[in-house]
Amino acid sequence: MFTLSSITNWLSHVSETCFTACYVVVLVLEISRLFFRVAVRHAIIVLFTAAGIFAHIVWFCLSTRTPTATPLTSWYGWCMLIALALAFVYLLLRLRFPEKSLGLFLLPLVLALIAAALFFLGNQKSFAIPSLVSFWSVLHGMALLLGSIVASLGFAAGIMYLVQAFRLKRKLPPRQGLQLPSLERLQRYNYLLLTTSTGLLAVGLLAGIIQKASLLTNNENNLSWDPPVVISSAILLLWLMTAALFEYFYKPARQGRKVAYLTVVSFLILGAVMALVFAAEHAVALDNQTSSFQSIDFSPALPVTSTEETHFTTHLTTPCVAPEVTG
Amino acid sequence: MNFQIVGCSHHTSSLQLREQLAFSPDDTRRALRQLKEQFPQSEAVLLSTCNRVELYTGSADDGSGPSPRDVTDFIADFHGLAADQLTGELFDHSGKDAVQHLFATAASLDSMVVGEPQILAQVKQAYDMATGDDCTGPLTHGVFQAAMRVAKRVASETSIHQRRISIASVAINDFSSQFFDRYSDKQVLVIGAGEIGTETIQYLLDQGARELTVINRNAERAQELAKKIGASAAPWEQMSELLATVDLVVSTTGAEEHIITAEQFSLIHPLRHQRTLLILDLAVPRDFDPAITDFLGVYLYCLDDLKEVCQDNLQARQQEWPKAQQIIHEEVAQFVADTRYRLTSPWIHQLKSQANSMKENELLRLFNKLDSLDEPTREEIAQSFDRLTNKLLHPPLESLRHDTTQGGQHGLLDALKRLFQLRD
Repeated sequence: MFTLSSITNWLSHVSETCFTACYVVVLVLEISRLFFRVAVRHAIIVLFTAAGIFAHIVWFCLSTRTPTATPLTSWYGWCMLIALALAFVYLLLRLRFPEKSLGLFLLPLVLALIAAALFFLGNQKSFAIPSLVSFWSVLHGMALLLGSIVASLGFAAGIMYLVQAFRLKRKLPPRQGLQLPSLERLQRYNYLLLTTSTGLLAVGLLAGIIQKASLLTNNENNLSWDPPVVISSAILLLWLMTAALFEYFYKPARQGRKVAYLTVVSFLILGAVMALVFAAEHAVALDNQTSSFQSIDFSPALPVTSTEETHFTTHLTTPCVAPEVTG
Repeated sequence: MNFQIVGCSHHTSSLQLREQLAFSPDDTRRALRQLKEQFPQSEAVLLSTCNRVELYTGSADDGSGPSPRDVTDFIADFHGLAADQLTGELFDHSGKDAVQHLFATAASLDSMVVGEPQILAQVKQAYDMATGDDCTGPLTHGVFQAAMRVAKRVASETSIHQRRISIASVAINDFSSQFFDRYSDKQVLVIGAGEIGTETIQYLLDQGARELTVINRNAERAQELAKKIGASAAPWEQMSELLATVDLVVSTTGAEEHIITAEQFSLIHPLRHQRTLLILDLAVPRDFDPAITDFLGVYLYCLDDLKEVCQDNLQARQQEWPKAQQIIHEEVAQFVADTRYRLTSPWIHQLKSQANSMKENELLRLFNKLDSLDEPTREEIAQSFDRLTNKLLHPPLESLRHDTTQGGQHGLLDALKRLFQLRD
């Protein structure tokens, strides 16, 4: 008989390997569609994706059981959460359009984010914990997170558009194993995702600037503007404004390949900016707040005091910009 | 199994004869009723499409249904033709061959365009119509329901239906669908009025295209076609203006030179702001300069591009043919075996009843003699008799099942009837 404690004990063994393996299996199955037909493949893909997402969520839940290791308080958790969101979107699309080869474009992104988290970000410091959570810091974190997810989806849609346009331009016959949405649909998605990500990222950046300005005004912890962060943010903001103006004034930018190029470039610039921000250790905490997901203790959680609970919630909703910011 | 088919198809008869022998839905009902009057014990289904006219008949008892000659005479008589006019024009199959023909027809292996999906719906419609008029029975129910199941199996286990092989269907369903999600809001320009173009337009209308404009050098012909397809007509001089706004062009003129050159299109292209334009140039020689395909956002497909896909699809279908045939063979063998075995069931039932009756009589006689036996002993003896009877009957019945499913070559059913004196 399964008891609650046995299930909890079993779930406590869920690690990054579980969901990564599931996503890898799904990607392999998606690739196999290019070569041969199997009747039950769709069911297996859905099953493995759902299992991967379940393991991913369980892993997040387990991670948040210790106040020092919450998912949104580090670049590691940030990447893992974007990967989870993309995997979830993939599952929904897979159920809605089972005949389309969307996994070939979305799953590599999911796996790349997980790989980046595992190999480059695993031992990085957590974000700093603010003494007071402000509206602007929450808006900054949430808008940037959502903007990153939407920009990643836009990147996948942009690549899909370019592949589809390439195939059609060269008059390649339709392939059973490689079916993509129509150009019309991809163009619509690209435009929607580009405008949404532009809006979200711009809001996130502006909220961050306001947050930082308010902290400097209050003269908290003798903080100063962080040059690499300021420069990279300025680049991103400049690009977003240019893209928006380009779309508004130049009609071809709203359709066809141009919009696909814009979504792809937006994603790449976002990635570069994130890398710069990461290199500058923007918003990371002092050494005594360092925590790593690698060292999470999955033993039953300790009782959490009300103070700790509040502190912990703060972690979840405020991924960056805090009084203890270094540099 | 007294099941047969008499008819004609595109394989055996001319279009003229098929047209003469075709049955409208009302004719079909009338013909089935008349056949039922002439042969009350017979079951019948009439399948009439543009490529075939086939009358399937069957009866539970040999001899009570019409012979192939009777069916030929009936068809000739119904259409007011002399029977000898149809001599050699109609084919007939009976028994296993008739079942095989029906299965292959329903699975679209006998169609003019192999793999076309309409035939299954037509077979189902013919069966439903006959059932509605009370012309079907156990035999036709069994055969037609099996035929539809087999057709679905062929469709799911092979890709014979998935590849399109007509230019128009490839143009719209394989290529155009990769550009557009829907056609209701797309502007379509039809240039010329060629045969393939008309067929393509029909596909577009089926897909929901609403905004069609027809242009032709001959304004009257443009008006005529526009009226026929519910589109609007425009003068030839407006072509450049229209090309700047439309999403899809279907061109099938008989022009001997390009009607739009790359130079002419370079003036139109900036007005489109790189909006996607799909041009289906179905004319020979081409209506559009092939260099137009280099413009950004323009996708130009000519007849050769589409023909190439049709050929590939046809080859792919041919590769699937043996697999589909194998399914048909398996299903026919299974169906015939099942049918034969079902025919033996009344005899098996009679044999078992006879054995059971003997056993009951013997038990009664025994218990009357040994009336001192207690109830558990009686039950034990009765069970022993049951086991004995079952063990005695099992080997011959198993041999009978095997023989009937193999075609009854050893005549075991007749032997069984004679050995155990089984009578109707």
